[in-house]
Amino acid sequence: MRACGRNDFRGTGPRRVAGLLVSAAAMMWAAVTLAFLAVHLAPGDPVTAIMGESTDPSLRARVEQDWGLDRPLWVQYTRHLGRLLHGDLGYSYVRGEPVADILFGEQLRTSAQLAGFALLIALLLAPLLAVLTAGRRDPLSRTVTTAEIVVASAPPFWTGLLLIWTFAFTLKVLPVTAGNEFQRLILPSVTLALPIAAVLAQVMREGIERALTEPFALTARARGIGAIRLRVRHGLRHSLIPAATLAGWAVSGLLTGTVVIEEVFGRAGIGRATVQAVSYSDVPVVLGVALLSAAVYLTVTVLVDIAYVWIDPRLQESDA
Amino acid sequence: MTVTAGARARVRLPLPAPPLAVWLAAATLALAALAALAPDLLAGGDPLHTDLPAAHRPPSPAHPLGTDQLGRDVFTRIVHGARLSLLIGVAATALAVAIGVGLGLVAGIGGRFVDAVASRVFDLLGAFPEILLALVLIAFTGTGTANLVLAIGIAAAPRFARVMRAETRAVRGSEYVAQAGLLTRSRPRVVVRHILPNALRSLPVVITLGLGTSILGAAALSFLGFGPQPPEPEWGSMLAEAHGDLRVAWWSVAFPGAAVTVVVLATTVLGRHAGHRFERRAQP
Amino acid sequence: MTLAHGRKAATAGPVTDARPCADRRVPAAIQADAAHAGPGGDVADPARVVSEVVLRVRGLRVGFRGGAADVVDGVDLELRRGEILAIVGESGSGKSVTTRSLVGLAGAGARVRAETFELFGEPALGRSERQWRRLRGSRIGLVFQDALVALDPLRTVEAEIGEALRELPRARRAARVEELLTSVGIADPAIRKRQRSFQLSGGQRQRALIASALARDPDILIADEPTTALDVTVQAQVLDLLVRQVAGGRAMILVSHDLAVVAAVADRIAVMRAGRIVEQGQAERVITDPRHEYTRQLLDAVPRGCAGAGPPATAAPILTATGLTKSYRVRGRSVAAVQDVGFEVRAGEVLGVVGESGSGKSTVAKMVTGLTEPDAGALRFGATDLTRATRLPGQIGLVAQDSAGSFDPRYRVGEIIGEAVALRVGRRERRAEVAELLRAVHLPADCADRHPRELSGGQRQRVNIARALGSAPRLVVCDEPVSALDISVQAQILALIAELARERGVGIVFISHDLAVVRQICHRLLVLHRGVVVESGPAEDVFTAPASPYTRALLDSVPRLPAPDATESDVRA
Repeated sequence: MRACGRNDFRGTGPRRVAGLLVSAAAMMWAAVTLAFLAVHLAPGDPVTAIMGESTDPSLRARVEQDWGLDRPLWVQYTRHLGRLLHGDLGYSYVRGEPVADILFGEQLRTSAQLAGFALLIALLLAPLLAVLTAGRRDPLSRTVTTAEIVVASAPPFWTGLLLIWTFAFTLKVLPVTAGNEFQRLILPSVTLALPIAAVLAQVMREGIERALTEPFALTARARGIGAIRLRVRHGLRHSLIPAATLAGWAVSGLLTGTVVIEEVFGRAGIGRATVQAVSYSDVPVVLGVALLSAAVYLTVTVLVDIAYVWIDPRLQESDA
Repeated sequence: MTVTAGARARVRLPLPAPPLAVWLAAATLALAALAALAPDLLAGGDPLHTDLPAAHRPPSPAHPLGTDQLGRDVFTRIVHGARLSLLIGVAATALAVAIGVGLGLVAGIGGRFVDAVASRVFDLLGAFPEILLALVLIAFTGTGTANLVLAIGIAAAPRFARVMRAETRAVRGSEYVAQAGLLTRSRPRVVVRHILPNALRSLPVVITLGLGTSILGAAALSFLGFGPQPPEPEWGSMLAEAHGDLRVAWWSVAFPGAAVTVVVLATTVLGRHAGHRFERRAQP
Repeated sequence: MTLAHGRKAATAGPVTDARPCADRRVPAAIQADAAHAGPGGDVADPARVVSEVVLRVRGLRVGFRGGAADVVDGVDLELRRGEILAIVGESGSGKSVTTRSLVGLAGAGARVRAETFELFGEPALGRSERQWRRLRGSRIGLVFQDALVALDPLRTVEAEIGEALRELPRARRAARVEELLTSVGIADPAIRKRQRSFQLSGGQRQRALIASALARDPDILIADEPTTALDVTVQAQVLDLLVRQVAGGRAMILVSHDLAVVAAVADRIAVMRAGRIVEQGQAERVITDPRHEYTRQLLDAVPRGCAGAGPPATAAPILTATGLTKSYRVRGRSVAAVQDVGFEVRAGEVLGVVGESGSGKSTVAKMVTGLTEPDAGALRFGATDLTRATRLPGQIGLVAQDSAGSFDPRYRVGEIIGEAVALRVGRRERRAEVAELLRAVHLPADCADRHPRELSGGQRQRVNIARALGSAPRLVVCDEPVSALDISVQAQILALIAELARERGVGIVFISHDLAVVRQICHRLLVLHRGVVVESGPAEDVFTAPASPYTRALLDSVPRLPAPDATESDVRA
């Protein structure tokens, strides 16, 4: 679902790009502000929220001082912003570490590997499935279509467990905790990729099928080109348009999935850290993760928005 | 410039009967609702009854879906677990609809300023993945069923708000709304008589599809440990309890997950079917 | 040779006001046609010798799985090199399905049967998809309507034409593409080929589409409504281009709903209706001496009448517009849609506003109805100035082109018209008033209980008209009200509008791009070009003696049939 402002392609080229970047930066700032206010708007007093499950009384005083909770709100806000710009995301009293250390260490690398590899798989699988099954009604295509809906409806932690059982325990071809880094990455990445690939494939297939009903498809066929060529050269490009609108959703799905999949496969990534933080009500960490994911989301969507003009050149010209 | 000359003769084909899949989906949901409302009709036993010697038994006539690590009958627990698993999803969706639809309509109907502000807010909330938003809320409020409903509901509201705003805007731009504007000076009249009812027509489809997402979200959060605490039966937490025993008792993992999948699948199928019918009916 | 048929009244509502026009000027198009006459014609173009048969079809039947009747029900066609065969029919006649079946593209689930089906002397029925692919593009080329979507908007023109040239080595393709673009009359081919369909003008992209169909020099060219989406001045040029393709032994099938277009260029005409060819023969004969009832109906429906003078200029105007100006912001720049436009409309008068696309006519409509506010200028309705505050609901009606969004999908016809009627009568009289309006637009009373989506295009337009009249407006704006209708239905709706204007004393602003339609119904005329009034005055004066060169060019491009009482000497002159 494209939000207002995304389709406002005022100006061309550099003006547009600058506009999108400014817009994204503004959103990030708004997200930061929201995170800041969350602590103050939540029920109960801010100190309790930040402290989490610690009950140490001396901690209270420390928190109050660190956060400057005795100062007026706007002072706190400017201090908060200032710290953020220096890379200081706050301090986790539960774990006794700065939040930035928790998030930007080894755990980030683990999670990024998982999400990245999953994205790659999804981006390769979806167009392949879409092109091969678009406009066809044979049993194999129907099976694929049905499988897509089932996979999209299945909780990823369940499919992960099923895959573990099949490939690790029964067939014994892929490891879960043993083996090298790459081998351990396969099952979780596939698990994470499947629901995303399923939905992307559906959307792309529908996009290709819609394109196939358009007059230009008939013209192309009248030039004598065959089915696969038609879908790849014409349909695929058109299907990128609806698929691109799902970029944000896909990023969200990857981030969410990472949290859950890391639990299932016992990987020590940011997702794991998040779950732990929530259980201990470690608000600074949770807010830090939220901001990080917002940053990733905004970056990806801005890049897709910038690329949109390349995907659909018609947007360059807004006819009166 | 010009449109193709020649309007097609309107031959109104009756909408074809729903395919088998749709009937199956409806039946599945009915069954699930029955399990949620009157579990004893489907599974007489006690979901909490433990029987340690009988732990980790594979499916058999006595235990059609096997037993879990505490010897509890998996089938009974699944049936009784429907209540919480579905309740959370349904309640959260209801909350999300109440908040989201209202805000979305306001954004769609309002003037440029209201719309701009509202859109920015929706975009901002949309930048956070829903489950993450829910997790943030839980970090503040703690776990428990009520908190889970609140968290998922609030996190899902922006999604509905966006859709309603888009629908409302689309209706506003249509020709019959312009025509209605010629017949009355009262804008509220046009809104109430034409814009609102048509914008809301898409709601049942949106809700059905959104329900599936909420149920999945609830299951995920339960799996992570933030839902109903054991020994309450709930599909997500059942998976959490059983996942360590995957090697020895695959049935304690397979069937609860299958239950979630089947219910979400049914809502998706119904939602898409309703969507197709809606599109066809709206086609003049 | 006088015309054998007289003027027949349309089935619903008499065409009383339309009478033969004073103007006897023979359209240039008909003169050109005389030069293209085929075998048996007096003047034969020596370069175009009609010879061997390239296509022969007997008893073609096409049905679709799940459909009750065959869409094409026994069609016989023959096509020779060097000739232009036109297939004319309204929507639903099966003409497009026929042409597509000729290249094996009838569609999924189509069953194509025929007693004889020969292409280039060889049987074509039962060819496999692979065999068809060898024919398509190389021996038969297709051109569809509206190049904006008939060319892939995401690919460059070069890529699209290049697709037809895929067997050529890449090095030679670029040059060949430019060659083709030049041959169809596109200037700057090196620049144009890198552009996409929406970046070209209407005429340019249609030419590019034709170029891609001609890329491999096919023996047969099939053009399905090739000029329908084009402005009238461009239409003439593209038609000319198409006609030139037949030189050198190519054969062409031209499919159209527009008899006037076809009459100007075709050698033979086949008239299709409901899947069958009802009449077929030499073009001139079919036009001047139609033998079948339906052909006569089609010819009659072509707007050829003139509306006459209308109310005298001294009558007080209902609406006066002065200095209307409106600009829009496009990509940061200000584009003037309408500049300093003024006009008057009197009771019972039909004012035509004509122009091509981009002329600003729709903007004028929006300003009159109040959907947009002018940047400058004034509108006076009777004695009061029209501003957002002073507008009264229902004082101006609007009949727009029938589109998907014309009616609220939740309401039935009775309720839709009732909403307008409610402005002047109480609840109890509403039903009666709605019934009265339905009668006035010649719709059966039971229509009130049906949904608009169950009605045909023509019926829906009548509902549109009834709704516009419901509030008893003194002025009705009609914005392209008949553009989406079949020609026979169009004639009826035009007659209806004229009748209602006369009987109810309503002033009408009639906006259209179709000059023939405008001539039939409008008393006065306003010609717009790029937002500026280039000419205005009594319609007949403008048509017979246009003052502005633009108007002259516009009128010259309009393909027309000979006037009903033309004599042979007029036609052959």
